Amino acid sequence: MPTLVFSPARALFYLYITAILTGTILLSLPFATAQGTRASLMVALFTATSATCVTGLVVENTGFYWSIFGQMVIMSLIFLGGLGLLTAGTMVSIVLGRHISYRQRMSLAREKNLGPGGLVRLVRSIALMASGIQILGAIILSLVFRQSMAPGPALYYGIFHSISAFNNAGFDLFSASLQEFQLNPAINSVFLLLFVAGGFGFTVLNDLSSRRWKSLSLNTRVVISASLVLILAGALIFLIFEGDNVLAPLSVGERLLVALFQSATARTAGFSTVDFGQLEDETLFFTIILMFIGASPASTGGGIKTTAAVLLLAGLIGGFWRGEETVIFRRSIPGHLYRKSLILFFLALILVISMVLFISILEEEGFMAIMFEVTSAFATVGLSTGITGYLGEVSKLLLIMTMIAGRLGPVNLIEALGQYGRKKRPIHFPEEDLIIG
Amino acid sequence: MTPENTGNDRLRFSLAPVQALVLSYIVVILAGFILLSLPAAAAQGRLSLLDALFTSTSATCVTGLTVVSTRDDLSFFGQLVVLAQFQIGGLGIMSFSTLFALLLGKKIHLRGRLLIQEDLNQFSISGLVRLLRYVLLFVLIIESLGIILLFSRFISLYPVGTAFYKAVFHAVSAFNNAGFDVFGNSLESFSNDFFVQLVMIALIILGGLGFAVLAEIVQPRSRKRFSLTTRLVLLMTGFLLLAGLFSILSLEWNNPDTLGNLTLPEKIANSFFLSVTSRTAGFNTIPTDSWRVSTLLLVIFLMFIGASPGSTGGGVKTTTLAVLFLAMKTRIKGYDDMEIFNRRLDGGLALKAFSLVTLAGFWIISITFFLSIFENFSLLEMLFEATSAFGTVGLSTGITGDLSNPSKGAIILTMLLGRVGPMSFALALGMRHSLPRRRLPEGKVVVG
Repeated sequence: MPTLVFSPARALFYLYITAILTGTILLSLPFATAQGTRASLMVALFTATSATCVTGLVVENTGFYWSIFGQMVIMSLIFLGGLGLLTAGTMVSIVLGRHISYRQRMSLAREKNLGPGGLVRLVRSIALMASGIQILGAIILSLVFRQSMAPGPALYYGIFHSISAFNNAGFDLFSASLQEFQLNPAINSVFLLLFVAGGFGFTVLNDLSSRRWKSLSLNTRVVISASLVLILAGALIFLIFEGDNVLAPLSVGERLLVALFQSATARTAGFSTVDFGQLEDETLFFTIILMFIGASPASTGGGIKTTAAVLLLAGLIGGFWRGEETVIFRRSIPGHLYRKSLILFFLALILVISMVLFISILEEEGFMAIMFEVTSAFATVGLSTGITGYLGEVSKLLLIMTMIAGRLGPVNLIEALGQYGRKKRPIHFPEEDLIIG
Repeated sequence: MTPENTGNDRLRFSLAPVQALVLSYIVVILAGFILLSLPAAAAQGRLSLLDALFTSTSATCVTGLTVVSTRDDLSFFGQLVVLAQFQIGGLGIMSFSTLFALLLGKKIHLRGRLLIQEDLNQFSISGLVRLLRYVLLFVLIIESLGIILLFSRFISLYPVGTAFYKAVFHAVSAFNNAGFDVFGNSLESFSNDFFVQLVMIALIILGGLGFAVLAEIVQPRSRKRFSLTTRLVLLMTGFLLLAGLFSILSLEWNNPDTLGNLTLPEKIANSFFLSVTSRTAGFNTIPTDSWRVSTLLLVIFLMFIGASPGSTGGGVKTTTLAVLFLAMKTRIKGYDDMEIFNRRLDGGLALKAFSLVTLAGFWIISITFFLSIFENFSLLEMLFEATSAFGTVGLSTGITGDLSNPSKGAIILTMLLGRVGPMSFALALGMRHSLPRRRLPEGKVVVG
């Protein structure tokens, strides 16, 4: 890769834009659709963005609208987007034996939210681990699909869905997500394992592969506990509010399975085994919160991330309120991390709320449906109450922007758009107090 | 002293003013609750205990959400109780917050200052009395002006006694940003009465600027420049009012239910009124549920921000929003310090502002979720209601009276929290002093 002349954050931004535009061009080719007619520019752009940002919102059904070529393009975009475009690029450089520049390391650090040390080694293990898990998932899924399909399609479906699940994309080749497999334990559990593993993040998977709980890093322990609590809480809420709605005809065990799947998928996979358009407002509302929190850092999922949510909570309720340090699992958290999560939370909230405001001006859909759609786009989830296809062109563009902002992260985006490098004024102004609250 | 003792002292001293604030509100609410649950307070029969508590809390916290009609269900006595409560509530918040601001603004270590107060009891009492006298004088002058102006208009509509009573009730209600009315339909009958609208708007804005700002504007000072707080409050208030006006105007221009059929001056007047009343008075000239979804979202945003510190209004406050904007601008520009009007702001302010907004957001979202469990209204209506209660606004899409008992309880709690919460929060943080104590080893977590 030639030397980067932009800030690390801006370089990352351009990289994603380039990938999306390439995907758009490929999907606009006539033979990308099943019909052989050219897809409209908006459909191609929306789908390319959704795939690159591993979101899963679709305006046209992936299985029926796109040809095999189109689906392959989508699959590749998901694979690269989930791995992290820069991680993928670095992997290519490593394979070719090229030197990885410091600037490239800095951008890489932004993509994975890590420090610049030891990154190249991490990239190698990430790529190996990601490929390994996805291949394993593909084999198992192919075997499961083989029960109802011919060998060729079963293998193809296995590969596509393994990639889509591990990368938390939520793209599927069926008519209504996984609703036809609602009570299929094998499909449910394989998908669940794949997207939960993907949502843990590569650093956590790396950490988990060797050590015992006590010796795990703080990050890993926070991620795992938070994920467990969120999945269980989400399942419980789903059980309570949908008990006399979509869960009504099911037995206790089936209810548990469906509730667990819907809870886990909200962060931030985007597959569903029930029709989200049918759910109660309470469930949708809680799902919005789950989606907003999202997966864990350096993972294939989006949202503000579990660690930020835990830090916010620990900081607000515990340490910060009483004037003590923020403590999680008997470890003190540096103040700048707490500040970072506050800013992240705030920027994310502003982004989601302004998008909801804009789209609600343009569309006639209900507030809840729009809120759900925007949060889903921001957290790169892909769940929808079913309004995506009916939105106007401008609203679709807004959703595209939201998906990119959500994938890159609001803080990176702000820094990408802002000026690079810290400027210092030659003078300091006198300090004055201000009343707040 | 051992470190343990220091810790206990600190806790006691940082809690005392907050406890005083919260306790005094609870006392006024309970007193009003007892009076309102008397048969004499109701027009017929008596109010249910929950309704009496709701009305009492709404009045004391100068919110204005109502589960019973102030005009029809309350007797004259009941209305007077409500009037007295929002007058006390408004005065209380003004003097409390001004007092706190004065305390916090001083360079002397606050703990030391409080110790001085305890030693020389006279100091605090005389200072407090002087401050209260100023505040009272201010409030009386402005409210009297409002009463005279409103009376001059109402005299042509009602008999003298009724006109005077209505003038008093609404002038006091407007200045204290309460939003209670005895017309039965808020100010909907005055949607084309520019004079009444203008007087109410002036009262609401003055009440929402806060005592410290008003005093500084009126008082001729030797120094030419206003304090940073005053300048920021004026800037943000002007910005929010105009931004609200133009957004509402453009969103509702063609809506036949609201502005569509009005003349241009009426369009402007009613848009401006909504923009003003959202922060955080709670009167309305057009039924709230007829605005478009996007307008209601905008109003929710305005209600959340609310008025200025030291004022009768609620919300997270204009200065908080200003600090948030500054913090983001600073980050984007890559500067070290937050700077405005050639002044530097302490970095800790941004943290305070972020935390306040986050906590407020958490609370409103939780209450909305709680409401959605018990009610069948749309999410937007419940979010609107929860924000209105938290911002002590009093606007409602009309669902307040139909809420179930648990929801009413949640709204009561939210009104109280919205009234005392942000201030206590600022106070508790402002008085905090880090103490050397045992620290845990540092851990690292990946964020974002």
